[in-house]
Amino acid sequence: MSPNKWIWLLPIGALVSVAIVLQLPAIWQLPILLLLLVGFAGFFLWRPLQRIWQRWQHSQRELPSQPIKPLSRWQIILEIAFLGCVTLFFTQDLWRSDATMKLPGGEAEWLAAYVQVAHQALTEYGDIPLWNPYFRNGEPLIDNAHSFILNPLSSILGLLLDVPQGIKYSVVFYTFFAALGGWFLAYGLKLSLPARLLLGLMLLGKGNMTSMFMTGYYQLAAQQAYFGWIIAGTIAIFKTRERWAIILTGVMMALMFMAGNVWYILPMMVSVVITAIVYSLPFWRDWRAIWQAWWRLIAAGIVTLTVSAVYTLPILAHYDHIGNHNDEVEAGWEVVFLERVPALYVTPDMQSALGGFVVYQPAADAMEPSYPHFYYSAVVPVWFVVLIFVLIPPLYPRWHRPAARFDYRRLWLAGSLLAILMTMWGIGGTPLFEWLYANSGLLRGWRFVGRALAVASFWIALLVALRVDAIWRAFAAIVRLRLRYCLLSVLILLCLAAGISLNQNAWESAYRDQVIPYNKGLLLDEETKIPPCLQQLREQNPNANLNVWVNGYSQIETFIRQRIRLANIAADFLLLPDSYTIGDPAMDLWRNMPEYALPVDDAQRQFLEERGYDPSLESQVGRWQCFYRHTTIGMPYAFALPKPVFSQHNAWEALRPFVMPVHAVENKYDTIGVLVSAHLREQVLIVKETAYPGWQVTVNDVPATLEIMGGFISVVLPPGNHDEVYRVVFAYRPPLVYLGGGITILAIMIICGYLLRVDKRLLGHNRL
Amino acid sequence: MSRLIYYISGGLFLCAALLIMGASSMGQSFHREVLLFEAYSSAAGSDLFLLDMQTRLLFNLTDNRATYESGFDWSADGKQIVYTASQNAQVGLYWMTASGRALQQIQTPLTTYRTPRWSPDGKFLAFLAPGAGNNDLYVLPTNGGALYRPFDTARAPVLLPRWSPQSDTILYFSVVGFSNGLFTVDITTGEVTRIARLRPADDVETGADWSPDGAYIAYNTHCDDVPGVMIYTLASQTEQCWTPPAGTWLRSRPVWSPDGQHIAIAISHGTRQLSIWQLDIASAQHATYPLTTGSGIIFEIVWSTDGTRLIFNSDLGTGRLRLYELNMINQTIEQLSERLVFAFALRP
Repeated sequence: MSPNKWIWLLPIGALVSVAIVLQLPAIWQLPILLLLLVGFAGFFLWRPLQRIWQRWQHSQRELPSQPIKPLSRWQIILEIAFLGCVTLFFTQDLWRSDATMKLPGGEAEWLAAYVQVAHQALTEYGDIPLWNPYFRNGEPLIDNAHSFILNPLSSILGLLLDVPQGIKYSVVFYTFFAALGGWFLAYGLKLSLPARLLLGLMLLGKGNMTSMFMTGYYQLAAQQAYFGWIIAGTIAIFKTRERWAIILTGVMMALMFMAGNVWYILPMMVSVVITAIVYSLPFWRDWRAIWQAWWRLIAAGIVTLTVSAVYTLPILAHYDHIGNHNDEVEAGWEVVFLERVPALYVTPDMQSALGGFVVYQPAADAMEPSYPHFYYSAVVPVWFVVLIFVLIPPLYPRWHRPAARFDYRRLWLAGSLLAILMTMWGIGGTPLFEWLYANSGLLRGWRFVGRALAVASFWIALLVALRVDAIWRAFAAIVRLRLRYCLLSVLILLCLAAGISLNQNAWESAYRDQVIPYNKGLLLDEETKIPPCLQQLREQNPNANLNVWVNGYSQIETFIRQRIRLANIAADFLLLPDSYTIGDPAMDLWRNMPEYALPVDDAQRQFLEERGYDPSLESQVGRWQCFYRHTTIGMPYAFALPKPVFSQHNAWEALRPFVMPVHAVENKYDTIGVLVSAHLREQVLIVKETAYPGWQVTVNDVPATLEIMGGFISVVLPPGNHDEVYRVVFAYRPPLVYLGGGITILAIMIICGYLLRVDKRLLGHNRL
Repeated sequence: MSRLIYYISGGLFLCAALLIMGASSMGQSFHREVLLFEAYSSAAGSDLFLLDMQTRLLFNLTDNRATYESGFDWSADGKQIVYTASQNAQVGLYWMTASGRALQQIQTPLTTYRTPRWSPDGKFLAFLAPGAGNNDLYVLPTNGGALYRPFDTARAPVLLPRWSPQSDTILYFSVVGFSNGLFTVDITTGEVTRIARLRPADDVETGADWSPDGAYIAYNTHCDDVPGVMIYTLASQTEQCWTPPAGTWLRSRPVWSPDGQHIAIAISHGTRQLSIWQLDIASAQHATYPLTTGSGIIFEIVWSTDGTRLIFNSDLGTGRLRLYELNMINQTIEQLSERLVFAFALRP
């Protein structure tokens, strides 16, 4: 019986399969349908595709690629020095400015403050604490998804030089690091000189990075500096058997993990996987080598997980403590109009790029983007794109063929696919991502989809560099000698002009549009009154544990310098306390407002007056009324309450009369010593630090059970005599940080041994 | 020669005069008011300090940052001090002379001690130690006798023990379950007598004190739902209640004056305005000495030996617990120490 006789069964089988698949949970439907589609396509198109493939390969063999000479050491040094000089030139406004010039926006102050707290503690006590007592009711300093202290590239300059100078120097460093990553990727791909320099320059001035740096999104911008390194490492895993490739990919991914934001981890994982897949093609040719390469990639993943264990282990374990982080709805509450999309990548000037830029907010029925800096994605000037993609392609079949190389096909496939995929993600509202967001709870945590454009622009930069390299090689291969040097020189100059033009626009416009207005006080004039007010409050209360409400989180630097807790950080991220063990769970003391509030406009003053706050007459700076005060709402930093009152009262106002103040004699960030006079009744000692997993308590040096009251760390003290004093020490010692730290140190030691080939030497020694 | 004799005799006379004056001065010094207190300079340790109330000279008795000295008491003759010292969760019982010398650890089978109390006659040392009921009462004869427990406190942990002036009875509180109340225990027979039950009222600071002659016990309670001080007569087993001004809460234990005529206690108007209320038992006259305008805390009050001043530790609304002296004649308050003081005691 001929198989063709039964071919009619195939469509019936397909229909039945689809019907069955539609009954499955939604999350399984798309991948299975895709598999079915690919299967059917393969069945019918296998032979034609094979013929096309063979013809194409045959055509490639007609003219061999030009031999590629290795670079000399001096050439490498000169090229890197060139990128360094360009970095220093375009970031001179940052590194030449004094400490009065800050990166703009509350985000910069808030996100950089982790390193400021660490620097301050390092100066005071000689070590970096695990707890940051200055945000809200305190939160972890290390095992915090926004903390980048464990990433030395992000934190070392801040730790040494404090903010804002240290952070500004870190921005300069990271831009150079990004450019170096681009250059290294091009170098690894053996791209030609103009392509190497151009890719470095494009990643140095990539709009997404410059705009995020200059609007204060330090972590998000810093993460982008790792893109080039990670993809270079991934490609090297598939092209070589060198050990450094595994370590480079794994360590760079780990550093990106620890750069203080989770956002770019997912798109880069997708990028790595797709790059790995295209480098596995055709997988039937040498499947053993490809199989080994995938194992090396998995090893790189293990390196990532183990090196970052100190950071990721506690964060993942306490993922459910992240609060105020609402899901993204339908893959983007801001949707870019499709006709505007191409211009995103080719308009270097920020004002021009965002001035006529239109998005639609379906929820608000508005037409302006809330966060335009997420959409600023300039990566190459439009004239350069027109030049290399429009003017030269008519000559493509003849000119490009000699330069065709192993990487081109794969990287064009991966780059195009990922640029399109990330663009679809970033512009919001595309059906594929709407469907994915609707069916994946994890993906809904990836909010502000516009950030995905940063990954798209990276891939576009790589495609442009590949194109330049192809043109260079075409010139080098077929043009007559005299004309060749002329054309090559022109191409180098054009590439440099494109790269410099991008940087000139990106850095200058970001600085002009964001940094200068912020520092000149044009945007946030009233917030400049905050520092003198805080200084006055501290002078009036030199030893008190002060806690102040402000709406927003600008001027955090001053809060920390004055050692004043910022009660309200109006960001969409906070770390929630553990559940209650004492008292009524409905009594949400953790969200109570503090005694002092610092309004900066009439709306805030009205807000406070409605809640019983009165202007504090003794707090004025010039004619500026600083603080509003509520004399009964504020809780002391540490206090005790008789335990029986919890069964009778469940509101702070009712509990307040029974408060017995205590004495916090040592407040060393993550270690708080409290002296409490014993009471005839059982009492509960409460310290206003968030009851996050990891706190421990001892009473008179004996470990005690940590209790949680109102979201704060507490301990029950037994009845005693008035002249007895309990020495209570709360210490934040999260076991997962120590466990993760052990894993990280062990992993680093193994990596060092692996790179030094200790295993080979030991085996060799044994043979002797 | 006669002139030499004249000079020698004159010199001897002068020396004798100086010796007499010196001895007189030393005698005066011995009878001066001396305050013993436990001060925390940092979380790294606490020390015992002596403060000469006349010269305000301060002397650190236990200059040791590694240990926490606390829970102390004077001997009846004012020459010795007993105290506990803890380090790394181990609490030892020690005694030393009032000059800080002859430090010695008191060895018993116990390993942890709380609240040592010297009997007024100096023959016994009472202290608490964790047992089945967390706070068991132990009595140690100072003549070398065996340590013993006057009664089984397993179900009734002892708190705030205070010797009677006759040194035969200990007044204590217990707050657990049905054993809730104010009790006395005869240290010889172990007989326990309930003086009063405690109410679960949170606006009354619980505390009690013997009158100097041991005939009365004053303790905090409610009199017809109003916070007040009850005077309990041991002989007749009768009670008389005294209430401070309306709307006030009791903030410290009541303390008898040395002559047994007055009682002083800290009160507050709700959560605000801390004051000391002084009651004349015989004439029923009372006086109020305001300490703060806002809220504040006060832990302990003691009378000066002449009954004209009150020494207390309070934050006076500043949040920093310090030692103060209230002169009731000219109504002035003087700060005695810059250190954080939880407990203190005047030399008998």
